[in-house]
Amino acid sequence: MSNQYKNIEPSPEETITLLTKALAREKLARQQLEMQIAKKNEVQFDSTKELLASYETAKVREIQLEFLSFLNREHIENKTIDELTKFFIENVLQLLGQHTSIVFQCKDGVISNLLTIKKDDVDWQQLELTESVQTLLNTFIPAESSTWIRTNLTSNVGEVIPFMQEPLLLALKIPQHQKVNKIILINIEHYCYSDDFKSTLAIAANQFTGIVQKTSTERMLSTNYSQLKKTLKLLKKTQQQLIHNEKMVSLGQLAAGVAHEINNPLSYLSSNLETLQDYITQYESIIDKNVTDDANNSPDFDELNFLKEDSKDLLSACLNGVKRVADIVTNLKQFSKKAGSEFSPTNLIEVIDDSLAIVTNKIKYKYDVNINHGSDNLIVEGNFGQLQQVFVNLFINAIDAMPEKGVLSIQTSRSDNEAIITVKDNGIGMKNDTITRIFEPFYTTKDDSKGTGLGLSVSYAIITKHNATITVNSSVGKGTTFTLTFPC
Amino acid sequence: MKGSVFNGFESYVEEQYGLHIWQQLIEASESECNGIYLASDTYNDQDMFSLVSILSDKVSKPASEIQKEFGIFFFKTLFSLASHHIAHIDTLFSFLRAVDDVIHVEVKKSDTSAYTPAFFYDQPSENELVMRYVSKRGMCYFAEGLIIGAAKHFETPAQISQSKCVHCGDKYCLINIKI
Repeated sequence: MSNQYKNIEPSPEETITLLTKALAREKLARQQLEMQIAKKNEVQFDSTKELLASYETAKVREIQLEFLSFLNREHIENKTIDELTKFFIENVLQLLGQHTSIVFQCKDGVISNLLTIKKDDVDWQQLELTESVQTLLNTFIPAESSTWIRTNLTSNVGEVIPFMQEPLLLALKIPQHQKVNKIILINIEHYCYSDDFKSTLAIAANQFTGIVQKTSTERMLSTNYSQLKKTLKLLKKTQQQLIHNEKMVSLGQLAAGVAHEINNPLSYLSSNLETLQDYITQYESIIDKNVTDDANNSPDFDELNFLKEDSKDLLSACLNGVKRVADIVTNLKQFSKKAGSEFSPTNLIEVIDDSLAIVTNKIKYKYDVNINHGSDNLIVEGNFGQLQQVFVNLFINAIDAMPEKGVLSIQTSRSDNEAIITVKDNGIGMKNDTITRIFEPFYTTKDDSKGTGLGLSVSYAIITKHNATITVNSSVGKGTTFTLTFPC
Repeated sequence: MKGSVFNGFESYVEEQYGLHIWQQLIEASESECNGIYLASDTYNDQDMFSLVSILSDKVSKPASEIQKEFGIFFFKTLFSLASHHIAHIDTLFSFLRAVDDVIHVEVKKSDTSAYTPAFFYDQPSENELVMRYVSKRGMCYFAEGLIIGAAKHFETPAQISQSKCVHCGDKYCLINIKI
């Protein structure tokens, strides 16, 4: 300091005041400078802010994905719902850094499959389901599904379930099927997590609910499928039985006629055989006479000729009679066989002829039969016995529709790829109401002794099985025509 | 820790206890920077703990209490620094929920790799907020002070307590705020 200013040298008090002011100015200058730096930093930060935010978001997503990846196909495949649930809870516990969880199944307030895991437990343990535990757990079941519900626990929880020491509870309800819910409870110290973290937990809950429901549906479908398979098997068996029963009923109806049919040849067989026995006696007598009598006494050649000719006729008639009985028995045997399912090339004309032979006794006295085969070749892929059953049924229906007398007309024809058969009667015919119901099982217009109501429904099933169709045309008082069309 | 926090602490000490006490703290702390703290720069965390500890001894007040008082004092500075980020916020809880972002910006703007504390939230009811404070610095009392400062600013009477604290052996701090 130069001497000329010495006289204005400040007092110590003034110096302190000046220095204080100088310090304040310096401080202010520094603050202003730092504010300028801060502004510049902020501008710079703003330019990279979005980039940093994107980086942060990407990092969060990566963590989310890493966590959610435990629910991928590889980890959940071939696991039961219980195994899946344990696996899910263990992962959530790990994420939350917690140790205690309870899981149970609940249906209409009834709790079952109660399991728990807690700190230092190696595996899940069963928890005794006392009345107080059941009452307490019921209060924790959330109303909403697939969402974590956070509840504050009161101190009495520890009295009922001693290992539930933490103050909060995360509860998740997962609906399975038929009112069954899986309930997951996680005892937590706090629920202070970032929004991203909570959203990851929510996604996991949602995803897991989907997995459980899918697995549950698959299990149910699989169970239903095996039940359906069993039912189908039973139905098939019942259907076969019904078809056979129907056949037996038809056979029963025919039995009397068949007995009569067999009795006819049997009676003339018996009569012819008795006559032949007489003839043999006569032959013996003539032969004996010729051996012992005078050589001039010649035999009665007229009588011998008669015996010879008549014996031939009688034997021929007997053989015919035997053949007739054999034919009837053969037809009946084929008819009474349980319908197999084997299909082979089958001539419909043979089926029709054999079916007519079975019902011939019912027809021959009162009815005329017109058969008009438009083609000799009506070979279809089919089952002889089943088709025979269809035609016998149609013929019997036609006869029953003509109580006094009538004409049964059978017409066959074929086009390039179809064989068509019509079976027509000129009987009483049917009303429209009846026509719409004739293929219904157990529907019949006949009295109990005659019909089971299964004939046409069984026929319909057989026709459908042959990929064929059956249609009906009928007018009251004029008659009915059934048209069967087979692919060939 | 950012220099702006040291600057804030300096202002707090000067206002509460006088310039001489601050100077004595600087002398006693033997910090490497000799008490020169630039707001935009970052300094050793230990410097702050030692300043608080020396002040605690000097004024016979628990360090936790000093941290809390400093938090209340520093709220105004923090709020003015971040005012343009939180202009739309008008309630205590919405401010507290934004604190994490505010601090994040303030710290990262001068050094993007700087360490930042983190707050996680849970709101069990409309008038209750729980904040989990996670920081290697363990300055939960300072955070508590900031919350008290915020409650005063928004004129919202609030009861603030800690149910868990790292200084009591817990893994983290839980700060409960009831309004």
